[in-house]
Amino acid sequence: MAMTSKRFFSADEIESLQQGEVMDPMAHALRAPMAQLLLVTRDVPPGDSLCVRSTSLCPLTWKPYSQSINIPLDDERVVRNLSAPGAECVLAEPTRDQLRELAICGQRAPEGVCEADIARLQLCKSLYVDVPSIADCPINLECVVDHVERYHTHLIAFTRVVGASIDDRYLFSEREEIISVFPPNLVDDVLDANGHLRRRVSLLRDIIPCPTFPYAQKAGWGNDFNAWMCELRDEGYISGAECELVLAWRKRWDDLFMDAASPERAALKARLTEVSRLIVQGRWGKLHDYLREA
Amino acid sequence: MGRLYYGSDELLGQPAFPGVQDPTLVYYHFRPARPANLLVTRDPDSGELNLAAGTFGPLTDHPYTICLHLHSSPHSALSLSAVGAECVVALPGRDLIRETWIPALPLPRGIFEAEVAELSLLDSQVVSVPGIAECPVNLECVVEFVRDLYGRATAVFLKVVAASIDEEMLTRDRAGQIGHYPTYEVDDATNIWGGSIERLGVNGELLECPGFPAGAKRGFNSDMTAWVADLRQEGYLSEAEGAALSGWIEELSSAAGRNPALRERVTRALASAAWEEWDDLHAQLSGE
Ligand SMILES: Cc1cc2nc3c(=O)[nH]c(=O)nc-3n(C[C@H](O)[C@H](O)[C@H](O)COP(=O)(O)O)c2cc1C
Repeated sequence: MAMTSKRFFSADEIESLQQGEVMDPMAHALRAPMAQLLLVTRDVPPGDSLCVRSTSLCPLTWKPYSQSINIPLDDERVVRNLSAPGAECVLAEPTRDQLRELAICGQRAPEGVCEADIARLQLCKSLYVDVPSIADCPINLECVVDHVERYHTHLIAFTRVVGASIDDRYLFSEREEIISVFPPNLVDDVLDANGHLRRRVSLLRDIIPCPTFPYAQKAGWGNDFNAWMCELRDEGYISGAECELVLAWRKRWDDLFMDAASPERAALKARLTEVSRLIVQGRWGKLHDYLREA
Repeated sequence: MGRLYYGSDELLGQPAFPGVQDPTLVYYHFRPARPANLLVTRDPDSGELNLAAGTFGPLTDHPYTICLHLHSSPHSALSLSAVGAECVVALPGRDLIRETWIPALPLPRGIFEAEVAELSLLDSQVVSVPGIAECPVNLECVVEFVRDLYGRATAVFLKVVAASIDEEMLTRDRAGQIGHYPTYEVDDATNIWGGSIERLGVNGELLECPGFPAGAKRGFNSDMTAWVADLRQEGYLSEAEGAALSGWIEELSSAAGRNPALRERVTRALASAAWEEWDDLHAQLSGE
């Protein structure tokens, strides 16, 4: 592959790109646009008001379904609302037609006022938590805080999804359509002609499939090299003898794995690397030659 | 039109729906696409390099930190289990779909996936593991915090201590950059054996959110009192109107938000400003 030249940044240079009201475009170029969701919390103590913020998240586990949410520590209202394990919240995915609502909920209303009301977003009952969902959003994730961690400038809330709802209009939509509608990804903040800050978001457009069998196990995800080799044998990509040879190398490799100084280990590593490389690149002729010569 | 609700067990069981052919369609509706990365680590036992594919999320901007989530079994989780461990998080472009998938293959531990994928290494400036030259962005990182997740996975908080970007990316506008990298883990399609085909997405359109006067000049994360001051300064509100609205907000704050009538008044006024209904707003502020 052609190599392009690189521009390097030290930690200090990265930090200086991030100073000031608007981050340097370079600082954004070093980041990935992240999905923007609306976070609904209930004010404590016993406040009957709700608070809504735009936020991004990091998925953590699929089983159970959990994610982390990062809340600026100076956002005292949300920090208070989510600080105790067991606190509840809802994460709603806005659509491309709700960018004004997203921008409104990106600001902090006075205590007692709910940003969703200013944004004129309709709320609806959640089924699994006491905090309402946003009826106008296609997806709502109902969550419980399992743990919080203070980290630099933010409170990181580890939340678990205990229920979720979907607007049935989207139930049968293909992924290509969904990603063109929601959720928006936060791209950057830029200054408009008047020197006012504007947030820019993006939606995904193209979807590209990764390779499948024979360049992967038939199962796709899976953690069984030997099963994959047997599938290649069964489908005629490699012979029975070739399969046996590769499996024998693999077994010997496992036996010698901790013996870093072993020359045999080094040779096996080279062989297993080469075999894997030729398979995933689909160079079957070269693979047969290689296995024959070995 | 209505809403369908799913409990956590139903969600984990990958809810299908009568008439939906694709068994994963509904399930992935609930998983927003997340940016993909290639992760270079060093095996703490053998000292050998490892390449994994993953997804990551944001933590803080000052300093620049990110969060990885790793299944407990994969090799990279072992390498990043201690604070101070080093790695490179590389952001792949749309020309590296095959290469991004290769590290997810069940190659024996110790086989360096970058060689299998024919990727070239990029010397790092600060950390002891290399990056991936073909990736437009490489983030050199140090582990600052690790937390077990339900005994199944770990969350790893990384501080970015150095970075690099392809000069070529700097010749593109932002839309050109995000149309190229990073890729996103979107969903799985089903192959003819009933197995999964991972699908990656790339950003397309760049859209602008409304800004001032529909919100504060400073934009996101600012206090709405700053927005009221901006509206007054730019003449959207007269001095008297601005003072009246600020006064209501102050009064509400000193009542810790517990004044339903005032709360209603403030909400209505701010909603009128947010939706740029200036006549209504003037009427509310003069009619009191
Ligand atoms: C695009 C993509 C994203 C992935 N995201 C994750 C992830 O976030 N966490 C994880 O543990 N595995 C993830 N995987 C699966 C790992 O890459 C896979 O388990 C791999 O075998 C781990 O490699 P290792 O055992 O060398 O660490 C992802 C795979 C792909 C292709």
